Amino acid sequence: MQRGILKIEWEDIEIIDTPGVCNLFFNEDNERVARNILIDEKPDLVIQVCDAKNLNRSLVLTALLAECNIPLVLAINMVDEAAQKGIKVKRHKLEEMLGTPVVETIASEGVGIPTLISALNKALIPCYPSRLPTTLVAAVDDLMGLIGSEICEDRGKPALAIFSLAGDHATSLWAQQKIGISHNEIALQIIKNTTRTFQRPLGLVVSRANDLWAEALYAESVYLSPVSSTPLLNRLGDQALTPIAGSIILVCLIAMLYFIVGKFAAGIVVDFMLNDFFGDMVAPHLKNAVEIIPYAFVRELIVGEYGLYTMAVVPVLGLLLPILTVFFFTFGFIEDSGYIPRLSILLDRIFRKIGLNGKAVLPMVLGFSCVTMATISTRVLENKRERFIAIFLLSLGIPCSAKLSIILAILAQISFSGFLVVFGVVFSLTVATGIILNKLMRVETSNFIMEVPPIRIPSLKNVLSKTSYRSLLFLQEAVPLFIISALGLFFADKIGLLTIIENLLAPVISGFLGLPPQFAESLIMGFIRGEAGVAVLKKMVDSGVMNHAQLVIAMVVTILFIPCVTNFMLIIKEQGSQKALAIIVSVTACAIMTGGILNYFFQWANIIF
Amino acid sequence: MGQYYFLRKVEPVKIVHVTDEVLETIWRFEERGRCTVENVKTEHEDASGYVVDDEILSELEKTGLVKISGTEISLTEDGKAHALPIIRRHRIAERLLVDVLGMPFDAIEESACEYEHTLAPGLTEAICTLLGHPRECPHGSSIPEGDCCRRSESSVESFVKPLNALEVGDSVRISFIRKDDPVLIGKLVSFGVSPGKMIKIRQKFPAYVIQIENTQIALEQDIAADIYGVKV
Repeated sequence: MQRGILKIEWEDIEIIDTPGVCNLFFNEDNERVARNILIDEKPDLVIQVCDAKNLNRSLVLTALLAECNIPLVLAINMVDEAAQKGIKVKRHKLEEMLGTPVVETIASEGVGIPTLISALNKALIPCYPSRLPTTLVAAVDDLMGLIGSEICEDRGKPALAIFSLAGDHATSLWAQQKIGISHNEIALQIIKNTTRTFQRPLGLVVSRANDLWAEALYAESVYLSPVSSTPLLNRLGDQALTPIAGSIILVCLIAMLYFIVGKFAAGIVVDFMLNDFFGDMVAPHLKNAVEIIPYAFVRELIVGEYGLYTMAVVPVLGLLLPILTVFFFTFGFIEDSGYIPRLSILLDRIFRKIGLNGKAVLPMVLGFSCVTMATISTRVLENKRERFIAIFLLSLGIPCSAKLSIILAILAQISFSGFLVVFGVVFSLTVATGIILNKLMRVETSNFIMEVPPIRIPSLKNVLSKTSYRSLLFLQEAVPLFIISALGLFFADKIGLLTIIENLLAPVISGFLGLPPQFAESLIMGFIRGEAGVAVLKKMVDSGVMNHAQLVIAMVVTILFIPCVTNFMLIIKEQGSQKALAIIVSVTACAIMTGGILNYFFQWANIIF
Repeated sequence: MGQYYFLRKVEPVKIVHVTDEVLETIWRFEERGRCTVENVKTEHEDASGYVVDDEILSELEKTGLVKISGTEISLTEDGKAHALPIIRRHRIAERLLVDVLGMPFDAIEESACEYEHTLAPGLTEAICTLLGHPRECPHGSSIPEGDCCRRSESSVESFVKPLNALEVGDSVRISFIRKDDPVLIGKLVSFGVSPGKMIKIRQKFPAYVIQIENTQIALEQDIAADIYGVKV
C-alpha cells in the first residue's frame, strides 16, 4: 500500500493506492486491506483503475462499489494493449450508462492522466440499476435500519451492511463488529434468514448478480473486432510456460544475467573502478592529502587497512554500486516484462517438492535482489508453514545481489568449475533442506491460482527510474552500516579484540574449515551487512592469502551463512524470536558443517581447482 | 364424469404426486434447519396452488413417512429413503437442463419438477454419469449420491467432464466447481471462473493455463480436476 499527495491548483489531494482486487467479500490479504481503506479512511471518492482488456471483470467490482454507494471515477487503463486485441471501449456510452466519469489511460506512458485529474471533482455513485435479488436488497435495508447513526457515518453503512451479509465468515464478523450488530439478535436473525433463503454463500449470490450487471453493461460498451495474428510477444509468452521451451528460455535468461552482471559489471566495470579509478587515480592523491594530518591514528582511520576509505568508500562505490546498478537494471527489465509470473507457473510443480508452491518463486527471485525485501514478500504465501520454509531457505541458500555481485567478481578470477561447485553445493543443499522441511512439516500446500499477465516490452524510462530508486535506496541503507562496521572493525583491531576473536574462532575456521583466521572478520562484518563481509573476503583474495580450494569453501560458507542483521531482525518480526533463533542456529550450523565437509573432501580428493 | 374430466385436464400429475411433493418440501427445509407444519402448508400454497391440509399430513404420518411433534414435522428413516431418489432426480434433471440443454438457471424449475417423477432409476444413473456425477444442483444444493457415483462409473462417456479430461484448445462452458473451500471458490470467482462462464484450455502441463475472455489464469492440477464443464 502506498500513499502520496497530489498537488493541483486549488488543493492537495491525498491518494492511497490499494492492492489490486476484483472482489471484496473474501478475507484474503489484498481484499482485507482494500476493504479497510474503503471503510476506515472514508475516501471522498475511488478511482477504479480497470484493465481495458478485461473490462468485464473490472465492472463486477464497479457494481459492488455502486452497491456500497461509493462515488467513483473509472480509469480504463492499458487501452493500447486492448486495442491490440481488437477491443475498443465506447467511453461516452459507458459514461452515459454508469453516470460517472470514464477516462481512458495508458498509465505507463502518462496518457490520459491530466484528463483523469480534471475528472476527479465530477465523481458520482454509478447509477446503473442494481441486479441484486430483491430479498437481498430488503435484507441490506433492514440491516442499515439497525445501525445507530452514532456508530458509523452514512457513507459507510451500505458497504458494511452488504459485507455483514455477504462476506465470508471473517469478513462478515468484521463488518458486524464495525457497525455494532455482532450481538444484535434481530440483525443476526436477518442474516440467518437471508442465508437460508438462498441456500448458498451470499457472496456468490452477490457476485452472480454483479456478473450479470457487468455483462449487460459490457455488451453495450465495447466494440470487438477480430484480430487474426498472434503477435510474436504473445507466442513467446506462451512458450515460456511450456516445460521445454520454458526451460530453454530460463537458462538463456540466467546465462544473460551471468554475462551482464557477472562478466560485464563484476568483471570489466569493477576492474576499471577498483584499479583504474580508485587504485590509480584516487588512492595516490588521497594518500598525499592525508599526509598533512599529523596524527597517525587519524591517518589510519581514513586510509589504513581497516580505515573508512578502504572498508567503506571503495567497496560501496567501486564494487557494489556499479554491479548493483547493472543488476537492478537487468532485473527491472525482466520484472516489467511479465516473465516472473510465468516462472512461477513453470516451477510450481518443482516448488511443491520443497513444500512451497509457484507463488514462492517471487520471494525466491527477489531474494537475489535483497533477502530482507524477499523476507517481507513471503507474505504473499498463504500459510504459516510455507512462509517458514520460504524464510528458512532464503536465509540459507539465496545470496542477495550485493553479496552475489562480489562473489561473482571473486569467482571471475578462478575457474568455471569453481563457480559450478559453489552454486551446485548451495543449490543442492537448499533443495535438500526444502525437501526435509517439507517432510517434517506435514501441512497441505496452499492452492495455486495466478493470473498470467501479457508479455510486454518494458518501458526504458520506468526501468531506469526503478533502477535509480533502488540504487539510491541501497546507498542510503548501506553507507551508514558500512561506516559503522568499518569503525567497529577498526577499533576492534586497535584494542586487540579482533585478534582475540580470531583466536577464539581459530579452531573452527583454521582447523575445521581450513581457512585463514582473518575469515572471522568476514563473518563478523557479514553479519552487520552481508556484502561488507564479502568485501573483506575480496580483500583477502586480492592479497593472496587463500588458494582456490579455500576460496570455494569460504564462498560456500559465506552464501550459506545468515544474511545480515537487518534480515535477522525481520525474521524475528515475521516468525517470532523462537522460530527466528531456530532458523539462525540451523543455518549457521549448516554453513559450518558444509564448509568442514568440503574442506576434508577437497583434501582427501586432492582438489585444487 | 364431469369431475373426473376436470381432474385429468387440470391437475392430473400433481394430485398423484402429492406425497412426493410434501416429502420433498420437508427434505429441503431440513437441509437448511428444521421444518414446521406451517412451512409445508405455506410452501404449497405459494408454489403449487393446491392445499396441503392436516388431513394429508396425518395420513402421511400414519404411513410412517413423517413424524409430527407439535408444530414441527420431520422425515422418518422411511420418509428419507422415499424422498432421496426424488430429490436426486429433481436435481440431476436441473443439471441436465442447464448443462446439456443450456437453459438459464431461473427457467428450469418446472421442467425439473416433472422429471423428478418420470425418470426411471437406470436412466437417472445414466444421466448422472453423463453429467460427470455432479454433487450440486445449479442452485448450489447438494445432490444425494447414487450407486453410480459411489462406483464412479464412466461406462457412458461423460458429457460434463473435469478439465483434466479435456484437451488443450477445447472451449469449455463451466458447469460446476466441485470444491468446498470457500477461499478457493472466492478466488476463482474473483478471476471470473464461475459456472456459466466460457473458458479455453491453453495448456495442461506443468500447470493448467485457462483463458477467460482476455485473461489467462494458471491453476494447479488439483484445482483443474475439480472444475467441470461441457466442451462447446
